[in-house]
Amino acid sequence: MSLDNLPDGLLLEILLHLPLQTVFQCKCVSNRWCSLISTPYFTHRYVSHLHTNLQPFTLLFECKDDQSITRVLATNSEESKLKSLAAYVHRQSEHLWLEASCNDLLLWRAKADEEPSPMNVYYVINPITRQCIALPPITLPYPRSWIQAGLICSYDYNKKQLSYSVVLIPYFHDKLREFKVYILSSNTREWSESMVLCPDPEGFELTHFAFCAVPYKGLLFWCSNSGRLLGIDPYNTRCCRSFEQPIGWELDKETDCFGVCRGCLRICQISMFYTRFSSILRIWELKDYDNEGGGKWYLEHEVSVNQLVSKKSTWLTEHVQQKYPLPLVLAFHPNDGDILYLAIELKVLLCNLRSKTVEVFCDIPHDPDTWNDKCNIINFVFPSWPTPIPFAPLQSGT
Amino acid sequence: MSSVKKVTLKSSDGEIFEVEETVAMESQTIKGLIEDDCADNAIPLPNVTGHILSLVIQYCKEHTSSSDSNSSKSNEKLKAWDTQFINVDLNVLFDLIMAANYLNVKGLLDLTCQTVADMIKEKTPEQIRAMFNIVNDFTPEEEEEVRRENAWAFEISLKNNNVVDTFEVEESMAKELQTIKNMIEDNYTDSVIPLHNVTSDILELVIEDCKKHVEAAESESEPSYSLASKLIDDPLKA
Repeated sequence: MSLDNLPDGLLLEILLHLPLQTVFQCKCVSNRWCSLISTPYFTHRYVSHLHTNLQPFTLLFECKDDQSITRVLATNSEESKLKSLAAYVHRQSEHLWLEASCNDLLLWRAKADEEPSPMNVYYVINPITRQCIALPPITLPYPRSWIQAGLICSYDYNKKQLSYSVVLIPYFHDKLREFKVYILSSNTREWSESMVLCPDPEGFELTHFAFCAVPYKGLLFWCSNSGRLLGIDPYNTRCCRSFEQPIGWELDKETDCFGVCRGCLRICQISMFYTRFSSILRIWELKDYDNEGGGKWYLEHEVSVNQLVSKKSTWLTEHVQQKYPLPLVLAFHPNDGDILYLAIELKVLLCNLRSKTVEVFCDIPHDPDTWNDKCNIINFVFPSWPTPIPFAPLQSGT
Repeated sequence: MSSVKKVTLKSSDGEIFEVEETVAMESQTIKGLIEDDCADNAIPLPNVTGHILSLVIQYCKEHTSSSDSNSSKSNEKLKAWDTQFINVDLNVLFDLIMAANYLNVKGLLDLTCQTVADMIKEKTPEQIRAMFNIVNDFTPEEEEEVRRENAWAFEISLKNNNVVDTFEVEESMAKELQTIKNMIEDNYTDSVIPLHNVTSDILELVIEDCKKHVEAAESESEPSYSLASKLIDDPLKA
């Protein structure tokens, strides 16, 4: 009796219990196995079978190495699933800048010998499967740090089609109600210019060191330093969403973090209100978001930085509680609303805002490079199923 | 003495089993029949032989009694029982999978499928075919294409508990292997690099060949691109 005798449905049940890599290795067993694993139904069952909230994730961040070259590092990369990813991303950062991400796809830009370079080449890469698309080059007379990039994508498993859009915003001073962007979508595969119309009559102010664009509900959201959000629809730049800053936001202090947690947009600010009491860290979450204009900020956490303690290290407790410098806020946790990642000295800290504790999460070789250049910190969640980039050749030399 | 409700099950080869209703209801299929009042006479199960049916009943008995509040069976004990229970030969295992599916006994289906999955987990595609008598219906070109497309899945060495022999190799020689070279350059090597997909004798040959290439490079002679060097670029093919 062989496994060939079992009907497809039962073979599928067996394969559901395998780790992701083994499933893909099994494509090489026979035509039948390959076809079965390549069906949308299999992906659907496999993804449902996994507890997606337990997928490991890592923070990818830029850091200058000993030769002052910006490279990308990954936190907690000793985890077996993340090891290969971390190594790959590190290798790629030798000649590519990490610009943005959407799900498990990363947007990179080729490093040029001189900035601004005449031609900019962007790549959409899946760092798990190493599949890669090179986008047609675009000429933009701006250095890399003056262009904000965002990536949004979605994969249709039934049509086996990947739709993606890349939006580039060249830096502009002041608040503008209308500004120029460059967009490339997978349906045209060509760059085109577009004018974004901000719904807010006051306009939008693009921050020089803005956080990565956050893809959310079909829009690419950027956050200004005044805590206002702008969501751009790559297919219709005249219809954007905007959100005012939360109540309680300190207007003369910048945004400390912007991202998504538990399916909601989140924003964080540490107040500069130095009193004898200490700086206050606040996190707001945008709830009741809908496509008809709904959405409201709710204060999720309000913690005094000097109330944070480390149960394991007195050194850490002292360092976190000292008034200056404040810890750097890196990122939110994708699923756990109580967790915030901070950086202090050469350590990434895991901060639990409910229990008001901090612990060392991992060490980093250099300070995350936020002061001299754009620093991108990307939350990467290991996918239940890697997003395929159809007809994409494997990148050579990896 | 309270009378416990029983149902009668009849296997494909005519064996009759009298089973308590609560035990039989572990099977969603049988549960449905009972609830639809179709279970007064013996329930025929033409897809399950007597031998397999008796095993399924054993499983159901064990798992029903554990959900009984009077039973003190712990999760560990149940797991241990399951491990013992599932230690059967492959043919019986497949029959159990089919029976669990037909009779809709979710726990048994999960257990049996997980057991087969565990056998698959640590094996190469060649080993999987050998173990489960699967015909390789790829043409060599097709097989190479699928391999190439999914190269990333083979890249990470799996658990290193299968390493029998360790070979101490000079770094210059190890770097002849692209895979290892990358690992070294990324500082992702511990003291032993596990090469799960390469057996000892093949690894010996590969190392021999690497030695020759390094020596050839040092003596500035023409490197020989023999079949062996193909082996070096893709030790997984070995």
